[in-house]
Amino acid sequence: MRHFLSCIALALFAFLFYASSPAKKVAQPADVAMQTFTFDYTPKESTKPGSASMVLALLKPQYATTFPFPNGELFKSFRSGLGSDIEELIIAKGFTLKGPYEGYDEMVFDDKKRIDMAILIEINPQFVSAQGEWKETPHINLLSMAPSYSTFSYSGTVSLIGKINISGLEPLTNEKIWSKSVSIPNIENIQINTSGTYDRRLTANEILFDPGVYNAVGTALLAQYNGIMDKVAAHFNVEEFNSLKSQIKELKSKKGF
Amino acid sequence: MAIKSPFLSFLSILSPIIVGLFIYTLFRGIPLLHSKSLMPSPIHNPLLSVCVYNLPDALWLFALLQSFKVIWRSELYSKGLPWVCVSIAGAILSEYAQKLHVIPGTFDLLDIAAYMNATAIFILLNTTIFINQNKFSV
Repeated sequence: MRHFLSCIALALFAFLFYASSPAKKVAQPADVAMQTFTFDYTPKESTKPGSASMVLALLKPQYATTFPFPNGELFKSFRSGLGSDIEELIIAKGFTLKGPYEGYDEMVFDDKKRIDMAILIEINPQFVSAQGEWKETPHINLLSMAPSYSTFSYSGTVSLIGKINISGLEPLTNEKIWSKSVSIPNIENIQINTSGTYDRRLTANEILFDPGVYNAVGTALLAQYNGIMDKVAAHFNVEEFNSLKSQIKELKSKKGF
Repeated sequence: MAIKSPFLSFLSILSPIIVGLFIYTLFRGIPLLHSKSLMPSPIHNPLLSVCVYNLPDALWLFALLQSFKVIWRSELYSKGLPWVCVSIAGAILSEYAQKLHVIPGTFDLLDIAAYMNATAIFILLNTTIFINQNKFSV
């Protein structure tokens, strides 16, 4: 009888512990803040403004349509930084700058007449998942009526590759007269770990917005930024641009100017 | 400290349960009943935090041990001993089961400390029985 009563007491207390056990927790990312990345480059040379005797228009850099994350803060900041720094670079090289314009259609006719060449910039980064996997942690509720569930975290590496395409158009005819491609230096094996656990495996688009992953990619991109801008700066060669003047004149004359 | 009165015996079991439930209802809510806490959890005050998160479990283990005492009386530390040991071991192992996500909850070393304290207080309060049960005749 006493054993039976002890068994009942134990069962009642087990139920009490069970009743007070927490309900299923919805997995949340850990409290890791997303860093703010500011991309800034200072041109290595500075010549007298306007000394190149050429008027350039800058259209704000755009991401390739195939790039899936153009609206992420990191990539908005990269685009904005790149645009501002190319503006500074154009002026530092001695060109006269018009713009920047949001798009080609924003350029008014009078500007098109005066501008020798409009600079278009297309950024095309690509992430390549080198290795890594999702780790699934099962949460089996043996004593709870709550359903069993799993949480997921990711650990691995990605590489950032890609290029920045810069082209020059004669604005009246919209004809491409100059084109360069700057490869983004391969940023390989960026160690990424999700900062929190999730209740499902995230898609490639979603994982980039995990603060841990976001910060790792941002730090790697920031580290390569000056190298990328050095390569861009090398392509803005005054002598090369001046050699295009006859072609520009010819194209403008086709339009009667 | 043998409690002879049935009322006091009942009270010694019921009061820790009620205090524990009161703390849960007030600060944590009872998940099974989907009840929310009535007051914010004092997570920034270490002492209050221990009272809210660790004390109820200790009180309930104490109440369980106390119920064994009422059931087994003078034979608690002989025939009733396996039940006492199973309860203490079960409480501590449940924490590790939480760590391994086998049962819901959060592993907390302070919970284990609370169980040990509850056990120690129970043993101290019942030293008389313990000594009486462990007397060796020469």
